[in-house]
Amino acid sequence: MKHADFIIVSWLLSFGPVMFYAWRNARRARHINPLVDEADKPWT
Amino acid sequence: MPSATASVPPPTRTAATRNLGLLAIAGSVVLALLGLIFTAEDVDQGSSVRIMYVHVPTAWVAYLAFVFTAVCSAGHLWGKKHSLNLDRLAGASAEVGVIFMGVTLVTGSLWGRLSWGTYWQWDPRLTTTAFLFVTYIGYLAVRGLGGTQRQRAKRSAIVALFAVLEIPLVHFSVVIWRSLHQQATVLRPNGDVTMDGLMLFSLIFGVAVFTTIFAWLVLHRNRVLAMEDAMELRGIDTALAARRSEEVSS
Amino acid sequence: MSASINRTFGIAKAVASKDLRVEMRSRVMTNQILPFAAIVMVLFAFALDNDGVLQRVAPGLVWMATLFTSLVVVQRSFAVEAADSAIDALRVAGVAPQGVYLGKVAALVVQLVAFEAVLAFLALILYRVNVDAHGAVLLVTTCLLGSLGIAALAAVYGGLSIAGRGRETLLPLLLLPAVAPVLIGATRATESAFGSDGARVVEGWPWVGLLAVFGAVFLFGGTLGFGPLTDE
Repeated sequence: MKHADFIIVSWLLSFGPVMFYAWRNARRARHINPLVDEADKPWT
Repeated sequence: MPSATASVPPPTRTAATRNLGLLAIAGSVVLALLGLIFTAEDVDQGSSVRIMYVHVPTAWVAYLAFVFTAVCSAGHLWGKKHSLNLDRLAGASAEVGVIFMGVTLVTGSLWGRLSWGTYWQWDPRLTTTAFLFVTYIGYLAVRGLGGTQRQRAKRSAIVALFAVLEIPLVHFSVVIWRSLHQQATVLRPNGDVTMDGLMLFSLIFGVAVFTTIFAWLVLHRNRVLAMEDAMELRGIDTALAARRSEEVSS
Repeated sequence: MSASINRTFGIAKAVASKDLRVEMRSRVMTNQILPFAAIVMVLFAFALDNDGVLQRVAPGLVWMATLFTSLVVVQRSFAVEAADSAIDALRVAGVAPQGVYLGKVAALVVQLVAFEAVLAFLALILYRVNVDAHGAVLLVTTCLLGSLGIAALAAVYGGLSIAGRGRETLLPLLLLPAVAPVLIGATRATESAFGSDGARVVEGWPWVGLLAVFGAVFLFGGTLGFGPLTDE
């Protein structure tokens, strides 16, 4: 691999897992949302 | 029930997290422009310094996350209310920290390949980071042990404080261990290079951007954990009732 | 104040002697764990297959074998408590958890030191290392303090693994990264005692200091943390 590839891979790896984590978290939130009372969501 | 789609905003969103998220996205775009295009190449490191603009901020966030976990754990243990929300914040922060620590290790070794000529060095900073990574995976496993939420909170808070005790000891012992051994003979510039103004600004800007991302992730994750806990506490009955009504109607 | 401290030590003594008596009677130590440790030392010799290399890495092998054996010993030590909910009985009886913790640590230290003695002896014979009188003093001190460090942490994480019943697999994940300083310190000190790789005996003593700090920190932390960790 060339330098440029290392750099691109590093940048992708820095943002990719984070985005995946955020996406999975949001999916989980939507999934369990109907099962949670509004009273248990003090931020809304 | 219609399946949830990405167009529906997640229930953990508030105006604050939405703005924080937009800020993080805008910051990331600017950081990419700065780090990949506008900054010059380093005199010693060449273009591999461009890895630093993401490596240093992720490392910073990982350590910040673990300090935050420790602070929340201490707050849970010694606070008057033994707040479960502090425990959930500690857990959310540790999860995000483990992700960033993993990213740091990978980008660090990619940088090492370019600068040192090898993916791994028994460098004290690197070794301590690897230990932290494993230690906090253990912490997350402790969180998953089960039991009541109070048990989980107390247990994991103590483990988090033990982890904080371990880190300086591990780091110190690795430092003196390495100082007795001959350094590897690969090209070994220090990670701290002399930087011009724009490079330094980009680095600090990166730290700010990733700290924003951290705050955004932890807020969302903390709310999901709160929902999970609430669901566990009283949702079981609701879920059962919903299930029964489904069966009747079908 | 001093009365309660005396009481704590009384409990510690009772727990420790109970643990050791259980081990003596069950003979699992002598009949299963010791042979396991011995075969590990022989297998290292097969794997490395070179007298020179063996002599050089003998200290590391002794402590690696100790670490892995300690996992088994700790699991046994707390399996005894989990069986028939013995620990719950202690709790209900109002026994001070600090006493239970210190007793557990003491029993673990005794067992680990016994192991290390056997392992070091095997290293002397199988790997042909030499120890002089000064080296022997260093070796004994290293074994005592190294075992203390391992036991102080292992008792905390062992207590955790009975709290979350049936999750013994957690112990290695938590314990092994945490005891890395013990492995580093004890191995270097033992290298000096064995004279491996031209190390001199006096060079070993600073490492003993590291072991002492480690042991003190976690003995203190464990005394505070063990109670809240197991009482629920």
